[in-house]
Amino acid sequence: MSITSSASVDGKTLHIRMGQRFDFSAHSALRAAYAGDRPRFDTYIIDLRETTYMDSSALGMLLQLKEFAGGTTRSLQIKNSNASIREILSVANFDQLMQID
Amino acid sequence: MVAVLQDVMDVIPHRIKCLVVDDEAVNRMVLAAMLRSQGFEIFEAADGEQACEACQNETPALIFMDIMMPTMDGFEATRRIKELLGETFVPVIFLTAISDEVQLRRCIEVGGNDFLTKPYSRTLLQAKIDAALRMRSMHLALARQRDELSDYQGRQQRDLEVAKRILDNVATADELAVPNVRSLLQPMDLLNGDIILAANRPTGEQCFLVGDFTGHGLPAAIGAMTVHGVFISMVNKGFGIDDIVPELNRKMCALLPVDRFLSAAIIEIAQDTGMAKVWNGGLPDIIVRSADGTSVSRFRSINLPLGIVSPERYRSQSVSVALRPGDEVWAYSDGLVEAHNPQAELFGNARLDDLMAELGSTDDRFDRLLARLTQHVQTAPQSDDISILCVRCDPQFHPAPDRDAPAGQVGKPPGQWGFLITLDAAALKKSEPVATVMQVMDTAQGLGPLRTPLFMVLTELFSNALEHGLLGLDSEMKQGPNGFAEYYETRQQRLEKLEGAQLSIECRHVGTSDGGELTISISHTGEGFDLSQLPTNLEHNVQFKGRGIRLVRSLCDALDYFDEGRKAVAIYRWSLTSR
Repeated sequence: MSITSSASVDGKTLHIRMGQRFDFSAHSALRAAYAGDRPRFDTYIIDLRETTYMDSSALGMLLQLKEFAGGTTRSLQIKNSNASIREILSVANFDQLMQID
Repeated sequence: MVAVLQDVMDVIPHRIKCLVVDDEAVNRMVLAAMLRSQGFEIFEAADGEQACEACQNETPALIFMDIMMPTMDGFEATRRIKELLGETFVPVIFLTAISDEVQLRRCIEVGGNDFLTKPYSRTLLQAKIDAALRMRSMHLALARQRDELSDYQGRQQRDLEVAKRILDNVATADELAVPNVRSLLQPMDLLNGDIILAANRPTGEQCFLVGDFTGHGLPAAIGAMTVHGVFISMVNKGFGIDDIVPELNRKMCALLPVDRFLSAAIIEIAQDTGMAKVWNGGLPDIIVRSADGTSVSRFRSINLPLGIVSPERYRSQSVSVALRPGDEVWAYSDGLVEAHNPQAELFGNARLDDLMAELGSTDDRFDRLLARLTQHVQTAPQSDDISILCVRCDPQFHPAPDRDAPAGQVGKPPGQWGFLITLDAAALKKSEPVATVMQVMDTAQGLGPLRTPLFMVLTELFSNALEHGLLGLDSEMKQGPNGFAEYYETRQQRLEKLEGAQLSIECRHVGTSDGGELTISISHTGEGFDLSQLPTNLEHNVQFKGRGIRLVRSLCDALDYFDEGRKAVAIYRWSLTSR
């Protein structure tokens, strides 16, 4: 499971790129990417360009991250999700909870 | 692990028994003396056969084995001893004058753990002993952990089985075992993360919930118990989807951790009219298939799953559907469409679409679906719980009254109580108050067997006041082929636009010597009706028109209208002995 994360120059945004499978196996790596001893960011971006599989435990992890990020819809953004992943997010109506591009 | 290993090592030196096997007494003596000086306890054997016997009597911690001996050599003795000791690990160190590599290799093949050629240095021997004892203590620690683990697993398994039995008792509803319903719950583990619940409202609507918890196992099972409790009791008390959903969401928010939630579909069907309501929060599309299979409508998840956003921010939306006899409503968890075969191909929506287009009875279709699922999945391991529910609209089917309907007695002595509830347009849009009024009366009196008739009386009087009085709907509308659908659509539209209206429900109860008299008055600020029409209406009762009033008359002791029909007053008498 490869997860990479990078902070924006202005220090306001943390960009987290998920690996191919976004399921329970990603749990500790994702948590480490944002919760570790990093400072807090205003916005967290989850980049799913490489992700081809996502299950409901991933939805749970997004909810955890959202709570960590402050709970507002704008604090968490999902980017570059493919059609099947967008469908999973859409069935769960997660667009009401976070920004999905 | 490290700590455990250390414990064993510390205990070792003074208690350990070593078996020294050699046909030369001198060799035994030299080795034994050295080992004793280190605190080991020694017993000896002069050949392989003696060594086997010695091991039968007492298990040594370490064996030193010569190879060439009369009657039985060290190879054979080692093989037999290892066989005898089974899973108990006892290191065997061969001490031999042989330096032939093939023979030395055999030492290991027969089960020996190390070898040392004579003459040996004390230092080297000491190193071999240390290594052997370390290996032994690791084995001991492993064996202990293995036993603990298997004990734990056994306990866990028994607990899970008990939990499963409890959950099965909860999940096995009589309301699912009726002719117009088919369902399947196929858990991936012992405990199910999916649930299918069914219950009937006092007025006869069948209500169903298909739910899918994030995750499986125990957390999901605990959540399922709560959902069951809330859903069944609210349905039995007469609450509808729009009241049940917020309550379930509230309970799930309070109960579940942030990353867990419940995706669900809820279906409510009045079999006599074909009016259904569906609610989808996070499950795949609910499918409504027309009786002839030519039309298939899908109801997409338009709500957030339960247990994610706080009650005050949760918005819920249900959709009304008019069903004709033979129409089917299907709800299922994503475990069905995502069931995969050994080539990782999903069952998919297309197979479901094909099935819906096919003719045949509901039972055929359901069985065909299960057969195709089995055929598709083949030997692939199940990776998610699968649940499927199919309900057929069948006006001939009259659901049994809810099983919790308390027979027997009224809970409290006939008392004197009363209350008035007044609702404005905004309150009327939000929820129907009948179930709440019932709750209040139940708290005051403990209605027991009176619950079902009173629920019907209240429901009819309330619907009449709202639909005919405030919304100006005409029962005649219900009679066309799509009558009910149009009627309820118009009802919904007019209710949304309703403004400045008021509806009051007043209940007054007085106790008598052997029972009580309940007066229910429902009044509204809308249009009244010509009271002189009433008797004629009742006598020329066509199928739907005025049916409500006739029902109320048959249940109550009196029903009168006042204020040009804007106020209905029903009197319901009951006695402790006859009801």
